[in-house]
Amino acid sequence: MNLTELRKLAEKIRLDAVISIHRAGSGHTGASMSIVEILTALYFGSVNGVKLMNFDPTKPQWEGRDYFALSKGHSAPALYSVLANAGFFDIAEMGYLRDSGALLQGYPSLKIPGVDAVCGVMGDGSSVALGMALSLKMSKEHNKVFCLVSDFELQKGVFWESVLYAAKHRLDNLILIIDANKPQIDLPYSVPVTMDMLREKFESFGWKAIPLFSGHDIEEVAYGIYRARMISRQPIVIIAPTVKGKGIPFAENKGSYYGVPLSEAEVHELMSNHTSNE
Amino acid sequence: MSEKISVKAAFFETLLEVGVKHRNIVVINADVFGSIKTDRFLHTFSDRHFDFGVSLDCAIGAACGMAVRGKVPILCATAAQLSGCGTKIANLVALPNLNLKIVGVNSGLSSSEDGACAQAISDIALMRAIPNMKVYCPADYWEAKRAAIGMADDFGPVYLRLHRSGVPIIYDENYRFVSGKGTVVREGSEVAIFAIGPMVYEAILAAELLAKEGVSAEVLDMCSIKPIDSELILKVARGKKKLFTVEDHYVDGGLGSAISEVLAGGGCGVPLKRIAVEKFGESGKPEHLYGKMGLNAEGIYNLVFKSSMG
Repeated sequence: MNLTELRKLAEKIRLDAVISIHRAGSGHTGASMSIVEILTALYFGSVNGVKLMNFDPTKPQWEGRDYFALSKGHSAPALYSVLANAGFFDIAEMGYLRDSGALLQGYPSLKIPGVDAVCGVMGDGSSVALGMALSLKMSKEHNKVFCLVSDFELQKGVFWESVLYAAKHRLDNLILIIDANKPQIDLPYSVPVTMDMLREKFESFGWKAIPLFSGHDIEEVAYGIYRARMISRQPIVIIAPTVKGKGIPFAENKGSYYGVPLSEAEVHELMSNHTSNE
Repeated sequence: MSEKISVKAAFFETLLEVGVKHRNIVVINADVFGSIKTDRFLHTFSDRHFDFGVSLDCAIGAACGMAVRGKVPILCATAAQLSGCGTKIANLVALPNLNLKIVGVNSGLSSSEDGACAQAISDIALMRAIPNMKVYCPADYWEAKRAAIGMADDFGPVYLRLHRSGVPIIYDENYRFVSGKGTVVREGSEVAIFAIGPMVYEAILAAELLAKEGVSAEVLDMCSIKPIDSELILKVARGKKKLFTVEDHYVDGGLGSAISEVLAGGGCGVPLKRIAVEKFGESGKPEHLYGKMGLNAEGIYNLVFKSSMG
């Protein structure tokens, strides 16, 4: 898939997620939008003909697959949209998001094809990914474990417990991606440090840090992941500055759109913008 | 009195045995191996043993990650620390029904000198409330060994509650542990005493004292608190004048509550008295503290005798 196709796919993934959240009547629109390009690059991107993540939608339990843990479980609609577009399940399932008895629950569950990690509450995903990486090392397998966390999960102690433990065991099969989308519901920022300070923190703990300029530049994200796959003997963190509500002009960088669906009028506005852009 | 061995030692002795049988078992240690004299699992399977120190939150998540990959993690931590991780265990372990075993050591009042904060007397209530979770509290060496093997052979999350101090041996090597089954350790006709963990032996001693006073007391070991043996409880209750439960746990939410629920659901009208911890713990020698709470043979005897006379 070339860059233009990837960008087009990212837009489709974005719209599918927005519409499903709107239909469900609840869900985290802003938080889902900031990770669309990261997920698109990870699941569909390739560099020099090498896929960035190995998976087979027809065999979700394929042993050669790379693992993905969505620690920021509230951004599930973006992941569901990616998995549906990758062919793990029928896209029609998106129409039942958050319904009682539906496959696609509010937070990812192991029942969903393509979902490997339980995410629990904020910050837990990093420790689950750590366990996966450890068990892969134990059985001398070369699969990678990707874990996408929100910058506000860095406020949790369990996150740093996992960071220390991964460094101690030199888990080079663990690739953490920080979605640094800044504002959260009650605060104008998530971590009271600059991106540079964050990079230094990880490096001082023995991690390899790959800071990106933008988590919405699919090409840059893809190269970041490609580089991360090459690193050995230390865990890797990709720090991706993003924009909350990205792709929805009136919702960008607004904490108020973080955890709510768009209204009927807002969805129409977004759809008409999208059609006129095409 | 027969030889005393702690159920904790029995469990760690059995760990090597289950590790040999199930090659996918891994041990996640959250800083409790230091208190255990036998670390044979670590020496035999060093690649299947992970030390997380006191970062228990991280250890629980990592154990789940391993369980998702087909390993069977046995997570060992103090029962007091685990009591603080109820929601995490519910969300990460029980909700996806992962094959993960949680072992809480130094349960009940057994960390007695350390005082209230180190004592785990709400753990049964917390774990019992979580769907999919099984809860076992063995009474002696053999029961701990058999429960550990049973737990490893079975699928799904389990909370195994282990007392710290030595307890006399009640059973022998022919003892069979079956999840969801209670054991009649002493027959009796007038009253019945349901007990768990170290309280089973104390209940047997109390029953002997009661027999001398002409009160025939039946003693039951309810190691499997969840699932609980409803059939046995209702069968035993029929024809008894009064029932008692004994546990080193808060009076609400533990064994006493579990048995009350069965009795109420079964429409059984026999009165029940719960002997348990009714206030926060404190520092003290174990025997003194258990005595103060009425959780020893004498305490049980006094209460049962008084109640059955009245």
